Parts: sequence; structure tokens; C-alpha cells
Amino acid sequence: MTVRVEGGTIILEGRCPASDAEDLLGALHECPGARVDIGGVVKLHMALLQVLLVLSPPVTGRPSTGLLSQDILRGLNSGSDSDAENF
Amino acid sequence: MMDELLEQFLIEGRELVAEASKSLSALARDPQAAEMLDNAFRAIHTLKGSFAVFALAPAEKLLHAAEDVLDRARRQASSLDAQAVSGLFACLDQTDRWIDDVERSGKLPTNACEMADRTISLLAASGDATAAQPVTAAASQAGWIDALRARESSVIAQATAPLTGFRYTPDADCFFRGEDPLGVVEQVPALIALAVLPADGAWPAIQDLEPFACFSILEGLSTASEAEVRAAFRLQPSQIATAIVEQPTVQRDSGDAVHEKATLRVEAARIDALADGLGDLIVAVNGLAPLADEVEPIDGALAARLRAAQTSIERATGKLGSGLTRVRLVSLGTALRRLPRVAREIAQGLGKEVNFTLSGETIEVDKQVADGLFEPLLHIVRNAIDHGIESPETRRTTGKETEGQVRLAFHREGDAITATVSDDGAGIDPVHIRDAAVRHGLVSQEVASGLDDAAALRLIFHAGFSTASRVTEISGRGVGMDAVQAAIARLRGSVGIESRPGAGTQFRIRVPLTALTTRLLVVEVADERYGVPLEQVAETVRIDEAALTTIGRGLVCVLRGRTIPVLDLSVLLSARPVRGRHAKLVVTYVEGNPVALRVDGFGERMDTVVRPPRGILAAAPGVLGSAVLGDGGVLLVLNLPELAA
Repeated sequence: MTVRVEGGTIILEGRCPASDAEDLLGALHECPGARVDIGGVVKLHMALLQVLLVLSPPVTGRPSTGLLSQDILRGLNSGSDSDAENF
Repeated sequence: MMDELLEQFLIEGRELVAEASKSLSALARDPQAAEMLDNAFRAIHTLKGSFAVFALAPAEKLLHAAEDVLDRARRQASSLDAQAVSGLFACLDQTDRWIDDVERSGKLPTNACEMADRTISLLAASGDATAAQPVTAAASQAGWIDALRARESSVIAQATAPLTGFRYTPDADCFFRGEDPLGVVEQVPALIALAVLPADGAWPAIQDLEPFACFSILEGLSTASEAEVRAAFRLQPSQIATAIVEQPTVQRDSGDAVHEKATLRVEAARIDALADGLGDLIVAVNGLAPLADEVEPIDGALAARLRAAQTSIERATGKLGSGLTRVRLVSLGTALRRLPRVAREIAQGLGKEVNFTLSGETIEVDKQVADGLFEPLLHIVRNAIDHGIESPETRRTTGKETEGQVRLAFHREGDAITATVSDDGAGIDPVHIRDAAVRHGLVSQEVASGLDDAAALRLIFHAGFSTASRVTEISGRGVGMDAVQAAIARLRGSVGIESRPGAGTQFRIRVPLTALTTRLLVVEVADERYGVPLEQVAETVRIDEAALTTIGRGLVCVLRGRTIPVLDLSVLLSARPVRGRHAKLVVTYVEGNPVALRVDGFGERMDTVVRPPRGILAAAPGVLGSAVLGDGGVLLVLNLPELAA
């Protein structure tokens, strides 16, 4: 399980497979307005990225490696609040 | 010359794409809008011709296919379905990109043929109701690289070598096969930009989100080669498109900047508005002269100062006028660039060998004049090839070279230009013309017999006249030489014809260089003042009354050894003449022959704007228009050749 909710923040961690997309979607429905922290993500499946793109929740954190450290998240982070890390 | 042509092509090409797009958009809204169908057809047709000038065959082929689709819809009076419109848009998009390519490199990309075929297949699919591929998606797909280029412009600008752009459209059900498009893209070497975009143009609504369907497109840029990038997608060959993205070089940037500084594109209507304003200014300045005359008896010094002021304002408006005129100047070659190609096509279509040559095309004329010359010249050239130049066999038997010559030569003659179209074809037989004119009921047998050869030749300018014993595909389009004459007359010009049976025909068109202001000579007739365009005046003569001789029912005079008819302008205008001791004559040319018109007096010359006749004046023969005088009065401007004809 790579999707968990902690104190109003949805945290994604490790290698997030396609099957987690449903969990992420469910979490976002349950906690509207919740922030999504992707700082601990090692690998994010396209299916989860799509959920983030469609629902565009505030996203914080910056994965240390991989594609997500690139400008792909420019769009994702545009909706993030002020304490989000900028990159 | 080539550069100028290219520049014109880039400007007009983009305008035509815009024009066609506008019409297509209107058609998408209202598929019944026949006028828009015509507009789109015309724009694409012209566009096709423009590409042909530069021998850009793939573009020509693509536009030809688009033209066919529109033409079919026009002829069947059917409406275009949404798919057809999308396919046409894809063609226009592709064309627009090619125009950019031509601007950048002077040629189309190496894969232009494939691109043309791919886009044509969209058009073909549009005709097929069962075509499954939604054309809109395909059409937007074609433009992806431009969108990418725009989106990633800052990344591209920083690159030091060409980049590879890619667009990866994963299958909707790829997640079920265990694929992760993001993981695939991760394998692209030297990735410097990546974007995830909605496949349908917009992300689905939250309630419609299908978490296990892939509805994204991934686009990115890599510094790796196209082959290396493609290798990363070797398992998804049908889902990937790549393109080389050249970064704009520093040179090109500065070139563009210079270009923008050097040329300013202004809507023609704004220049026309300036011209109108200048016209009003000229009229206002003309008002100073009568004012000075009025002041003269009271205060001579003040009158002199007024005249001095008038002179300096006139000088300034003169400069302004010539500057404005120059703004509107275009070279004839640019405006008529399609003519040589059309001539070749006509010859080809008729199986004739024709060498078409153009000279003097660098002469610059007012845009209105250049544009106005295209149609009549095209018609004359078409006639020369169709009716003038004989078939190669006939030419051989008459001892001519099998290749016929058609020449179009421009010359500058003072304030006018002449365009001469000459061919070395069969010529026109006046006997044949007389017969045909009588047969068509244009003139009686008596009148026809009374015409000399030159006058007989001019019968071809009568409406409804056609000497062709067979109406060919090319010339049989219902536009006769009368239309040519009317078009030339609209440019305030004249057209003459000379022909020698067996040796060839020559058409000579003479039109004023500029269209803005007209130099007028004021003539007095029966206590009224009229304007006469100076370009219609060959000379003004003052001769002794006794030098006029009556011949038959008419008057003639002898000028430099030549006997020319004298007509009384007061009679032509149904007014009572005021005679002096001397006969004052204005000599003009009617259908190539000098005719003298008797007036009562000559007035001043002026530069002014002649406005086309309106209302009752428009119907009056021999009236060119009116000019407002400085004192607010209106001067009727006469068309001498029309009056004297």
C-alpha cells in the first residue's frame, strides 16, 4: 500500500503501481482539498499521474530521482499552496 | 527578384491560409454557406498556384486534393461534413507549417511527400462515412510539433544542437497490459523536457475519470538523435511520432528583428484612408488660390504671402503624396508572378509549344493597378496561346519554328505604363472579323465594309464577339475581349490591337502608373468648366479658325502633316459654344487614333482626387467622375475617348 492519509495529507511513497490509482482517487474523494505529498515516491505509474492531473490537488514534495523531478510537475505544482516546495 | 517573390509568397501564403481557415470555420458553423465554400476554394486554389511558382510539388499536390474536395462540394451543391472540414483544416495546417519551412530553409522538409500523402489520406477518409478515425484528433495530431515548439520554446532556445521531439500516444488499455507509459518515457535518453497532455484536448471531468484507462499523451524533447529516441519506443512503434526540432539560431532571431523593423504590414484600407485624407488636403490647398485672387485688389502684399504659403503647402503635400504613392507600389513581376506558369499550363493543355517571356516586370506600379492588370493580361495571353499560336504541325508547314513565342513586355512612358502582349501566331484576319461581326449582328454589312482594317480589328472588343470557330475549353469561359476592355477602362487605361495575318498579333495596354490623384486639365466649354485627365490629353493646340477644314459633314485639321478629325466638345455636351478667334483643341486618342476636341478655353492644371460617378452621373456616358474644387465647387471630369468615340 503506497497511498495513505495522514493528518489531512495524502502521502504517496515508494513504487506506486497502476492499481494504486483507484486508492488515490478514493482518498482524494474522501478528503477533498487534501494535499498530496509525493516526496517519498520512487516511481509513479502513469495511472496515478493522470489522477493527479485531472483532480489537480495541491502537490508538495519533490521525488529525489526519476522523471518526477523534471518539469512534468510544473503543471501539478501550479495548484499547490505557498508552503509547497518550488523547483 | 527571387527574394522579393519569396517575401511576397510568405506574406500572401499566410494570408491565404488565414482566409481559407476563416471560410472553413464559417463552413463548420454553417455547412450551407455556399459563399464560404467559394471563398475557401478560391483561397486554396490561389495558394496552390503560389506553391507551384516555387516548384514545391508536395504542397501543390496536397492543396490540389483539398481543392478537389471543395470543388466537388461546390459542383454537387452539397455541404461538407465535419470530417471533411477537419481534413481540410489539416491540409491548411500542414500548408502553414510548410510556409514556415520555406521561410526558414527555402524548401520543404525531406519527408514532405509522406506528410502530403498522410494528410491527403485524411481528406480521402472524410469522403468515406465509415472512416473510423476521428479526423479532428488526427488533424490536431499533425500540429503537435508546432505546439511543442511553442510550449518548450525556452528549452529549445537554450539548446546548442537540433533536438528530437516526440509524441507518444499510448493505447487507452495499455495499463491492463502492464505497460506504464511514464516508465517507457523514462527510457528516453537525454530527456530535457516532458509534458503530459490530455489525449482528447481536455482532461475528463472528475466524475468521468476512469482510473485504469490511459487518456494521456506524452510529449517531450531530447538532445539524443531521432534514432536513439525511437529506440526507446521500439515496443510501441505505432504510438510514437518524432520530429527534429531545430533551435532558432541567433542569426535567425536577429534576422527576424531586422525584418520586422524593415517592413510594416498595413491594411490596404488604412492606406486608402490616408489617401482620402491627402485628397481632402489637396482640395483644401486648392482653395488658397481663389482666396489670394480675392485679397489681391485689397492687399497685394498679403495676397503674395498667401500664394507663397500655398506654394510651400503644395510642395509638402506633393512630397506626402509621392511618399504615399510609393507605399502602394509593387513590382509588376510580383503581382503577375502566376502568369508564366498559367501560360505554360494553357499551352500544355492545348498541346502547343509556347515560349512565354516577360520583360520590364521590375517596374513598380500602384498595387491597385498591378492587381487590376492580372485578369485582362491573363485573358489576352490565354487568347494568344489558344487562338494565336498555331499547332506545332501547322507552324511547321508554314515554315515557322514549332515553338510559338508569346511576349509580355512592360514599358514606362511618363506617367503611364504600357503592357504589350505579342505573339508570332496566325494573326487576326480583318475580313474574317468583319464577317463574324455581321454574322453576330454587331454591325451591318455596309458599316463593316466601310471599316478600315484597324477599325475592323477593334470589333473584337464588342460584347459577345468571338472569332473562334470552335469554343475551346480554355477560352470558352464566357469572358470576351469586351471584359478585357472594361477592366482596362476601370484602370483609366486604353487597349489597342494590331495584327498581321500569318505573322502575329499585338495587344497594347496603356494605364496610368498611379491611382491616387489624377492630374487634370481644366477646360472651358460654354461658360462651364470641366476637368480632363491629363493622361488622356496627347496635346493642346491653339490654331487659327481658318485652319479648320470641312470635309463631308465633319471638320478636320492638319497637325504635323496628319489630318485629324475635330469634334466640338460643346456639341458633345449639348451646350452653346463661346467662340474666340482661335480654335482651341485638346487632342486625345480614341481607339489608337488621334481626335481633336474643340473647347472654348484652357484653364489651370491641378492634382486632385477624382471620385467615381454616383447616382445619375454613373449612368451618363463620358463622365469619369467628379472632383471637389478648392472653393467647394464640383468639377465634372470627362472621359474624352468615350465622349469622342
